[in-house]
Amino acid sequence: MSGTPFEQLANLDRLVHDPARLAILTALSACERADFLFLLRITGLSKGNLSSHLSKLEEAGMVEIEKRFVEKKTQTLVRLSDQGRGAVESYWKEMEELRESATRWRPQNAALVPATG
Amino acid sequence: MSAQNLDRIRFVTHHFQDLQGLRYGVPLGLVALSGGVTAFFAGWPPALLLLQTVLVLGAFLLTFRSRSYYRRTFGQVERRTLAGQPISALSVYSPAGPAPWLATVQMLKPAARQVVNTVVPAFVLFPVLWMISPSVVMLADGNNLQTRWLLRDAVVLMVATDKFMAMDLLSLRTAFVQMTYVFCGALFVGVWLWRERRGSQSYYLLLGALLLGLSALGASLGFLMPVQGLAQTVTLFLPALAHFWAALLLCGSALILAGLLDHLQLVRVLGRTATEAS
Repeated sequence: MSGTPFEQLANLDRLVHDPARLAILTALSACERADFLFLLRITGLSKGNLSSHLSKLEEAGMVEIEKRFVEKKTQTLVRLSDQGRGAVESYWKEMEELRESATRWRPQNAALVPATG
Repeated sequence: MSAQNLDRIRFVTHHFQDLQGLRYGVPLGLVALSGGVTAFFAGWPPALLLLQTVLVLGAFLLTFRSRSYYRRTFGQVERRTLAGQPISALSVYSPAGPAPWLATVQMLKPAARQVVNTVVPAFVLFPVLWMISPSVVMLADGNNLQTRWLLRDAVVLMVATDKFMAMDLLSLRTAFVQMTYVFCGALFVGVWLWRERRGSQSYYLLLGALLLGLSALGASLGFLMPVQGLAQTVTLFLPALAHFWAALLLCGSALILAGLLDHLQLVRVLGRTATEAS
């Protein structure tokens, strides 16, 4: 990725960059699959919020959701898809590049900054 | 969402099963305590049988009940199965390819590999320290020992001039007791390494260092006992260094403590409500 850090920041995958979805994807990337209750606990989101974020991620093909019955109760299991795993990995790679370019970046048009004193 | 929070989420998800202290650490510690109580009392009085039954049954009950508790309270996580690292990475050390035992170690699961990496060196270093340490003979004749626990039976920490030729059953038992500390201590350090050397898991390192310290103290008594002023202090530790029941009680207590702290960590991270997190 090239350009200023601001351009790089603007080009980040917004689906992954959202804090709540990033928390969900981080948890899912550390396991094979997790159920809804665990994701609820680990992210601290409300049921409605978590459900909404999972739907968005499922629509984008990042997670796979499976529902099954255990002891007469519905259990929702969520797994990170291969596409989702790739998206998370490239997100962290881009963030690392962004961090490095932000460290190197210096304002080119310093003359525009009014002198003080 | 800070990077620290994301790291905590990743760690807790990855080690969700391992942090279920009430399911593993505490029951295992209760069984060790039961063994320690049995080893302490001779003759198997009825009260002992009852206590032992309560401890062992309590351990089994806790294992089954806590499994259901964790599933109902915190949900379920399936551990990600990681493929083993390629063993070719080791071949730089051997032009003929990886040595067979190294290949075996590489094929082990990450947890088992870390434990092997700490237990094996500890079991190699302990006999070396034991061999280079001067011999100490302590007989429970009532004149040399002030600690009343030692008077229960004749405790011989190390015997006479040639340890390997003159070792009798009592000195072997003492070595076995100290090896128990080596095993438990190395196990704790291995667990800490496997759990990414995190500060939040440092109690494993602390407990492991304490147990390994006890074994090192036992193996180096020959150096310490002649030192003026140290002998009295070291004598306080002799029951722990010479009796198997003491080793089981200490290792069992360490397991229970670590298990409870694991459980507390899980509750602290996963016990947040939605309003607290938002």
